[in-house]
Amino acid sequence: MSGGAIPISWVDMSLASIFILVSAAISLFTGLGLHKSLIWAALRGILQLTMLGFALRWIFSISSPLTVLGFITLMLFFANHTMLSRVKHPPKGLYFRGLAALAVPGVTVTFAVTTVVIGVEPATDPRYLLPIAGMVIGNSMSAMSVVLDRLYSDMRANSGRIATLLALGAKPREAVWSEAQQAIRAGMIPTLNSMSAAGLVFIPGMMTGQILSGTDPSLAARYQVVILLMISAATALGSVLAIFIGYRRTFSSSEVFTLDR
Amino acid sequence: MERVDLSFLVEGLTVLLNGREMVRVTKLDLSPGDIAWIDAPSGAGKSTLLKGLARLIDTKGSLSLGKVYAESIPAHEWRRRVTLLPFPPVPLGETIEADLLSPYKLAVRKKFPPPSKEMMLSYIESCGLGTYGLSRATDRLSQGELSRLAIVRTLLSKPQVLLLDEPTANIDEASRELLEGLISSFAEDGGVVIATGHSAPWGSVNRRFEITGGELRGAT
Repeated sequence: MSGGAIPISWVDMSLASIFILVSAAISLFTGLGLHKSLIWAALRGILQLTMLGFALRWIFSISSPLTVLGFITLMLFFANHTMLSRVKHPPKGLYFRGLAALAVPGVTVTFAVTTVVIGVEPATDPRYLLPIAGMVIGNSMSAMSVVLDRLYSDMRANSGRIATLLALGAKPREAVWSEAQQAIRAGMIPTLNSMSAAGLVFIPGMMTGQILSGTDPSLAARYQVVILLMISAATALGSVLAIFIGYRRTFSSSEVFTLDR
Repeated sequence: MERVDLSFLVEGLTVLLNGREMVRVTKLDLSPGDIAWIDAPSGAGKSTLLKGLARLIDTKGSLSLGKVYAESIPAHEWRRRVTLLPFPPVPLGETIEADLLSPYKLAVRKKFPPPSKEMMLSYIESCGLGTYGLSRATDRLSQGELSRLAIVRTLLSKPQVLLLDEPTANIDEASRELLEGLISSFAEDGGVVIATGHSAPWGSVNRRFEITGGELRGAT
């Protein structure tokens, strides 16, 4: 099942961490102050991926649809938490709206890829569903947190302009539209870059993985195209939803702007 | 414009900020042509009161213009009729022309024709910006020039009640007189003006108020 990938031992993994330790040492001696977060993030990464490996092995072995869906739900909650924790001073009431804005495009696109495009049987086969859900939800999460953070910081910075437009009779949407446009552009830049630079600058992660485990490169390329398009679609949809849930929370039902309170 | 008996009536109004009662108005009755001035020290709640009258913050009580009660129409529709010019002024367009036309890009003014070039030119001339023409970049204007441009923009948006927060701050003596001319002719055309500031500089002001102890009172 593992195809042709060369096994990696614990010794190999420790060798790979030497470079992180070297960078941390450089940061320590030059006083750049990065070493703590670098080491901490590396430890988290190692621990989480190792646990994921075991968890996926267990889920693949029992192959129960309920477990698979439960895993995706858990993913969504973690993604929502991460997304909102990166937004500085968010207004109240974003939690469940954020969750919905992640889940609707994320789940729709994931199942569209697995069932319609790839044609996985059964639809809940975790070997396809979970990695694809992870990529789709993870990328939406990153874009949406940038969108929300940028939206609120721009709205605060331009509150005088927004107040003047509202005073002239602008509807809430009209008053914040140029901030919304900037925010969605900022959130979509990494996705647009990865689409236009794919294959020229870098070989995308999933394609790399498939090639390493022995899949024919042109089949791997086709998978990657599907994934790239679907990730971009989910990211764009998620960003649009983030704008709508995001700006509405800053207005009361009587069109009073409440963000600067 | 629908300017038939448009008196501005405020009764038993409390302006709320974060749920706290900030300013009370027992009764304020202004008729077309009135220019009211609210004189109060900073922090007394002048800006808060104006925002409440424009429904930019929440209020309790009765607010009406002509026969129209504030709560019977959407807030953005009320704000088109009762328009606040906040302080400090900010540009809404890259050029003077774009700035003056910005109110007409809003859905609430879809049915109203935007001002002609001649109209815009005559307004900016009467506030002393005439030598710049319409294509001057707004980021090259001084704060005082921006204040005057913002007043012209608000006048051209054709409100029925004009609320001016600190209109004479940042403005020199000569511009003050130019502004008074613009404001007076707005009132003569049947508009209502409520302005705030530390002292009423205009002879055309016919109603004077002050805010003491969180309450709007007539001044002598």
